Order: sequence, then structure tokens, then C-alpha cells
Amino acid sequence: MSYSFSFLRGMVMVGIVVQTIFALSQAQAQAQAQVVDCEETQANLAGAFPQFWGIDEHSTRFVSSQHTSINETNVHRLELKWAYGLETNSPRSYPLVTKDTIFYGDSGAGLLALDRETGCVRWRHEDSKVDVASAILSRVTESGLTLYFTSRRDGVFAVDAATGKTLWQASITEEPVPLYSGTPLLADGKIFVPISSEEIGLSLNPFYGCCTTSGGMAAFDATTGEQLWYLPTIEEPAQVIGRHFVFVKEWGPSGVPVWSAPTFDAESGLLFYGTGENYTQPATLTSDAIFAVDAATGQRRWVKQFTAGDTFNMGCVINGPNCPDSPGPDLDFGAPPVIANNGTGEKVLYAGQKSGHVHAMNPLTGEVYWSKHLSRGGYLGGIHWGIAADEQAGLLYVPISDFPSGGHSDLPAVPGMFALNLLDGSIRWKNLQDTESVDGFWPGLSAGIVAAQGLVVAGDLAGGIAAYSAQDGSVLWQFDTAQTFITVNGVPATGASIDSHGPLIVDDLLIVASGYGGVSMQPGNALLVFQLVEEGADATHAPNLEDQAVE
Amino acid sequence: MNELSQSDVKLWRRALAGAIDFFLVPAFALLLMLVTGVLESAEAYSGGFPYFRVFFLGAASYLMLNGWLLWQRGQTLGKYWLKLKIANSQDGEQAALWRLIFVRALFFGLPHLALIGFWYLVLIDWVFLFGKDRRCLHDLIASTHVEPVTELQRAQFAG
Repeated sequence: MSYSFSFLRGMVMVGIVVQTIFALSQAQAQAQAQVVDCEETQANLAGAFPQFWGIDEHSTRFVSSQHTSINETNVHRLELKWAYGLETNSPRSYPLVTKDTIFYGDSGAGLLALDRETGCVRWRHEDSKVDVASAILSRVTESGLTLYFTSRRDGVFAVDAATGKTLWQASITEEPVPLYSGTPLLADGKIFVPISSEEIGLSLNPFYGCCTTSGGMAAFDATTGEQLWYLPTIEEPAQVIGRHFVFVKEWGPSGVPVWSAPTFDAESGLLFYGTGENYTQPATLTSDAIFAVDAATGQRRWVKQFTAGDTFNMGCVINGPNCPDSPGPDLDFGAPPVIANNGTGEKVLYAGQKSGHVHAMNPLTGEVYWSKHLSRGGYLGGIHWGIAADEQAGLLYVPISDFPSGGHSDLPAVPGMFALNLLDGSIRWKNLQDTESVDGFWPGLSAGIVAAQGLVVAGDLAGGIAAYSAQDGSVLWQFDTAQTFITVNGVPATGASIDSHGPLIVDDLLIVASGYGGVSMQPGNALLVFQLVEEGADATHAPNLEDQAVE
Repeated sequence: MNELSQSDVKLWRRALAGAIDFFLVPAFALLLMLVTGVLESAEAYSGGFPYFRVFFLGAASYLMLNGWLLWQRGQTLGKYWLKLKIANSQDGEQAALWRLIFVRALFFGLPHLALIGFWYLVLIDWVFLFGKDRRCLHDLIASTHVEPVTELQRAQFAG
């Protein structure tokens, strides 16, 4: 009898605990699902911009006057319109903007549709736990506007822009642990998806047999999600190359991830993208390289390697047994290559590397016209996430991070904005960050940048954002996002490092996420929308905590 | 020195026995993992973190280290060294193996879960130790208790 009672008592206790935990998590999920707070949930989907991570399919990151009224004469009138508190402290998305809506990925909290004027939430993607890791792309289909993005572990998603419902989801099967950390590109009815590998992180585990996987590029039908082709960056299968701890096998070659958006040239039908390092030995000819691939068939046209013998993985950061015997400098191409007219009518392919090099190539053959070594580079750039081109001004904008880390050359650190002549790579001007007086974080320019008529805008790792004059690099406007904001959604937001995809300019708005908790940077969760105000007008802006009177 | 009561002796001996098992089982699981390579390849991680493989490694390690002792004597390795055993709370007889494995042993991993943030689970289990009969929740549910091995039983085990 007492056996039954004590057994029952115990089971009741366990049941209460489990129920409580379950109820708490359900309540949290419900609260999250009920953040839809706009009265009008239907978005006006006209005018969706931009269609590419790089603004256009050549990845110039240049916003023409057709899509923005912001230029060098009025950028000083930008003021903060509203701030939204994200759930992630490491935002890694790039907005898509329509007439009245901003679509943005709140990392593990899913895709959001925000009212452009007020920041209220129209809807949240039905699976709010999808980890959005890319820019938000769009395409008009028979059923209306479709949004596309990648989720780090779940692949590529197509979502109905009107309702937030998933239309299809696709992932590759050729690799066991693919990582979808780059932004895809939509062209010709296809979506091209860059493929990296989770082995970069698994290599931290000393009991993991690093490494066997390869990066690559996959093409899917943009309407149905059917996979059309897959091209790995390494063709040789991995072999056992050694052992540690007696039992754990070591494998190679491996790695060569693709984690940046590709670039497309409709005229030649070629897709261009950069690759990262090998994870293990032996190094291949495809690491730290630029690929040119036939977009229709996935056939390689040419590959040009710029840093040979680069073998590195995260195991090297902790001196683990998976680190190659002679680790390389980890000098990926994280910035998408840019196609621009060099001023003579010739289309040139420009690529910026974490080494601090900028290379100019013939896009049809890969022949290198010139290479410029601007800075010391390193694990975190050099040139990290993206460059930009202003063909009218004949300029290539190059942001330099030179964040103190390993893998760098003997050149001095020169974090700042460089403007090179598209023709020959000579420096037209440069504006270097002041690393002496800043008593906070390293102010390197790591994030992708955006250019418009007469200016280029960049955010830095210390939280500053500035617009530079195309003419001479002087600062036309700046704002310190490393502060706490009162937000339209009531979630406290703090700005910090501006990294990953960087700012967007569209119409009279500048949109930027501030905060990046990954890879040694400062976490933050502020999504900031700035707007041009009339000269002398009192802007409707979101206050920060300093605006409040001290009681 | 006053002679400690039997229940007081049991507490520190139980804690020490538990600590021995706490470290031994994962250490053996590590060896199993190395020899079998079950967590060594990319395929093991293709569905996300391999929770099932980790669980089965732990279960296999626990059974391989403690299975015979539990079956024969109601002991784990830690309890064997600290001269303790698990018995039915009703009649003091050796507890049925199925109850030791499928009820009581399910709680074995709670201290390990505490290391990754689930501290409240082991707290709920251990708080019952302050009850009159000094039995954790897992003993209450399995209807067992832990007692010292008697001299007679030691002789029997040695024989």
C-alpha cells in the first residue's frame, strides 16, 4: 500500500514539474506569436527593393536615384525615425522594403514584416523559430510576391509575402552538414544558394574526425524549389590523412566554403563567387579563390586562386588536435565579387579579400589585371563582408576592418574607407578611422557598405555609422548607434558592432542593424530606421534613454 | 568522537559514491565513443546535435560498468567501493533489476544535466533527502532505499 502511495506521490511531483516547464515554454511561444500588433496586417507589396544582396545582380551595392532620394547634398538631414528591439543580439539579415513594409530576419526568431512608418509588426513567419541568416530577396510570381531567404541549418525558404506562409523549403542532400550562411541570388527563374559547412564549428570538438565535407553552390527552381544542380568546391573525395588520440581519424581535403552572395552577369550567363579556406590538408587549388560557373548548367568555366595552401579551422583558435599542422592565415573571400564598367567600356570583375587585397579580373577568363594590397588583413578582414562600386564616379569603395586578430601580414592596420579608381586601382582618397582616441571597441569597417549618388555609407565595429563624400571622403553625416534606444515594440534595444550585411539606403530611408554577437564582436539588438527630414524640421524620432529627463 | 548514526554515515558515503559514478560513467562513455567512432563523423550530426547517440552512449556505459553489480548485488561501482547497496524499501530485499534500470537509473543523468543549466531538476530530486526517511525522489519512485552492506553480506559477496 505505502509502495503505491509513494510511487504515486513521486510521479505526481514529476508530472507537476514537467507540466510547469511545458506551460512556461508554451506561454513564451504564445507571447512571441502574439507580437503581431499592426491594425493592418496586409502589406502593400509594390516596389520591393532591393532584389539582390548586392542591390543589383552585379553586386555593386549602388542605389541609383531611381530608388533613393538620399544624396551627398541632403544626407546630413538623416534623423532616427524609429528603433525596433530585435530578439537576436547578432542580427544577420538585410532588409527588403516595399511601399509600406520592411521585411527583416530576426535570426532565430524568424522573418518579420514591419510597417515602414511605425515599425509595428504586420506578421511573423509562421515558423517563427527558423534561423534567418541572409538578406531577404523577392520575386513576383503568379500568386503574388514571394520572399526568399536561407536559414542556417534548414536551407532555403520561399514565403508568401502577403501572409508569411511557407510556400516551399529546400536543402541539398549531397553534404551531411551543410551550412546556409550566405545570401542566395535570384536570376533566370532560379535561386543560387551558397553552401558552407558546419564542420568549421565541429572542428572545435577534439573527438570529431575533421574533416570530410566541401562547400559549394546549388541551384533550385525559384517556383518549385526543385534542385537543378550542385557544384562542390572540392571534387576529390576526402581520405584518411592521420589520427589523433589513437582512434580519431583525420581527413582531407575538405572545406572551401562559400558564405557570400554570388554575382551574376546575364550577358555571359556566368555566376561568380568567392571561396574560403581548406579546413584540413592537403590544400586544394580552389580555396581562397574566385569561381566562374555557367549558371544554366553548373559547369565550372574558370577558377582563380589567390592564396595557396590556406588550411584553417576553428580548432586552431583553441590549439585543438583538429588544427592542421601548419595552419594557414584564413584569408577567405567573404565579400561578393563586383562587376563594374572600369571607365573604358570594359566590364571588370573586382574582388576584395580578407588579406586586404583588391583584385581586378577579366570576368570571362579570370586573367588578373591588377591586385592592390591595401592593408594588413587577417582572420576577420581586411575586406570582410562587401565592397561597392560607383561606375559614374569611376570609384571602387573598399571598407577595411583590420580587426586585431591572427593571419595578418606585416603591413600596418589601416581601418577605414578607401576609394580606388576602377581603372587601375590607384587610391583616389582614403578616410582612416581614428584608433587612438576611441576608448571603446576597434572601429574597423567590417560590414558590407552601400553607395548612392555622391556618397558611400559604412558602419563600424564600434557602432558608428557614417556617410562619406564620393569626392574626397569627408564625412557628410554620422551617428553613434552604440547606445540604448527606446523602441516601438517595447523591447529594450542596445546598439553595438555594425557587422555582416551592413546598411541599406532606399527612398528617403537608411536602415541598419546594430549589434553582432558572433566572432569577437559586440552584441546588440537594435534595428534602426533613419529618414530624411526637412531642413530645420523637428523630426519624429525614436528617443534614446539620454533624451529622458533624469528624475 | 561520537559514533555517527547510520543515516548520517550514509549521506556522505552516498554523496561520495554518487560522485564516483558521476565521473566514471562519462569517462567510460568517452572511451566507448573513441573506440566506436559513433560521434566522429559528419553523418552523426546531419540531423542536428546527436542527442540520441549521446544518450545511448551514456546508457551503454552505465550498463557496462554497473550492470552486473546491479543485477547481482544492487550496487553501482561507487556504491560497491563505499560499501552501500540499493534495496527494496518495503522488505529490505534486493530490488528487482527492471526497477533499478528502467526507473531508478533514469535519474542518473540529472547531475550531468545540471552542468548545462537544468540545475532545478537535480534540486527537485535531492530535496527529498531532507525528509524523514532520507530518500531522494528517485528512491521514492522506485520504492528503494540505500543502506550499508552488512558484514554478512560482505562475506556472501566475497564468497
